Amino acid sequence: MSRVVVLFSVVFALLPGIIVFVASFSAGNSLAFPPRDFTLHWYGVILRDPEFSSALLMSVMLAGVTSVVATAIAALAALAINRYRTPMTMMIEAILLSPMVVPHVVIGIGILQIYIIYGLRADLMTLTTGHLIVTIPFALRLLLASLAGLDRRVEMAAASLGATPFTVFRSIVLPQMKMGIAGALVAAFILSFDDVSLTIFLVQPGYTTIPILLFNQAENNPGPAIHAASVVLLLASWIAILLIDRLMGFERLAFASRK
Amino acid sequence: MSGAASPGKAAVQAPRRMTRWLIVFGLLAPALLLYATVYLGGMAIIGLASFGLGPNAEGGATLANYREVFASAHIQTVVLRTLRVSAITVIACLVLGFPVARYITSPDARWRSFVVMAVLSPLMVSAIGRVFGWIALFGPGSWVAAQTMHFFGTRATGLLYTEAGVVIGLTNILLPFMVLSIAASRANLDESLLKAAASLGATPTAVFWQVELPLNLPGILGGVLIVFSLSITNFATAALLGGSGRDVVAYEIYSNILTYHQPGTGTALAILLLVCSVAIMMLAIWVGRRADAMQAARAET
Repeated sequence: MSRVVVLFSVVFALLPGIIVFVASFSAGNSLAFPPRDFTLHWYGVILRDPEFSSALLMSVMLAGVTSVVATAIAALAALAINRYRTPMTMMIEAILLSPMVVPHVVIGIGILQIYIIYGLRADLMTLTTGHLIVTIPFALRLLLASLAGLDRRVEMAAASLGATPFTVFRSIVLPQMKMGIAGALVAAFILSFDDVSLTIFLVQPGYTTIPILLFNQAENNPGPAIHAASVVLLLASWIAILLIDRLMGFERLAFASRK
Repeated sequence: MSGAASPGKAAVQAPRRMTRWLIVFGLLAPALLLYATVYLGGMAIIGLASFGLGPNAEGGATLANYREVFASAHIQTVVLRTLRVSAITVIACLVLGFPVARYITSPDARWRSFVVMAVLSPLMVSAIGRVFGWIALFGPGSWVAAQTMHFFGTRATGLLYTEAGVVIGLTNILLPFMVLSIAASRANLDESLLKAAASLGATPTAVFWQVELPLNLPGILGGVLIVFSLSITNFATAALLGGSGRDVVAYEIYSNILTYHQPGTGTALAILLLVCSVAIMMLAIWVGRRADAMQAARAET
């Protein structure tokens, strides 16, 4: 009985992705599943659609910049928090992780209010700033986890043998952080690439991302091309999952980034 | 070292401590600056706006927005719908998540890594991308819609735009959180306790209800709280599968602010949602810490 539920859960977890994948090759003009005939037509449609390609470019640039900047900021903070455990830095750690428990909708409205006050419009910079708030906590979690396994005695030994602090950092601390940095980069990229609930407050016509494009189309008139566009998102996420699994083990990331 | 040497030592250490604090704050400065300006600043503005205060406000502090939220019959329906959908989602996640957590923490799980990868994948696989899978599966013209129309008398849209559809979509994205919470609490579970109970003559049902379940309670409780909190704050999945007229709280906030330009009720509702979800998450963290402490105490004895 218990095994049946496990099997059901596996199918249930994978089902919507598989359906989107199959439906994206559907020849019919409706969204209904199962499809009757198969075609690559809808992939051609989205590739020729200027709205889609500009949103895809925006999504990739946004996620790319966000993942690099979030990882850099989180890495600096992680070093400080890991090295100097005082009540002050512990409180700062809690604040930096807090966006994990605050609803994205609330964070989104707050950032929107700030942008309205300063007259900021949607562009790569303002969208990135918003995405940093929701990606830094995950990057910080992963980096703190990678630093926690560090044996401080190795550093002390190196320092007592005459290594400068910079050499110690470059040849001992940084290599240990590598896995955490890689995990943070991939996780931040995919979180930013998929976000709807925060981004929807920050976009404007002309500056939209793929998930927002899909959300708005679904609310108005979803056509079958939407499945082909969804497959693009799903493929990106699965590549990220396999990449993370190779780098640090997907399970470790899942437990480390747990709420 | 004698007491007489300490004043000199302190004089050397004081500047060193200063540099250390400078380094710490230098490392934390980018993050703190970013958080203070957009994140904490933004939430402060929502908080002020909900009480009728802030940059563009006229008049003094007022509770009018909150009074409106509590008086509105429409918002009451939305809140009740959100709570109902979330409660059912929690139960569904628990029913599916417990056996999965039990399987992936059992020593003889042959398909373990595949099950972990599949069931936890919704943590990272695009939520919006998968919503369209449900829409295709449930929507008008689909095989499922034909069956639900035939057996349950649903409309032509089938399970799409029903609360059942929202529950299925939410369960799909939130199941990993339940599994992770229970699996983490099982990681330190002493299997010999279950064997001991069985060898003392307890039936498998008794072992489950009287030994296994109580030992897993912290993980279950943590999972229930986390899934509930993520469920009441969900935006995209609930909005797309629920459709218009079946809004949840997060969508109500969004439409109050961006569509209807009623920032008063929108910000008040946002603050109420924030307080509820943070309180539930804090409770989940506290439960987790308590469980860790209890386990540590048990390990010592």
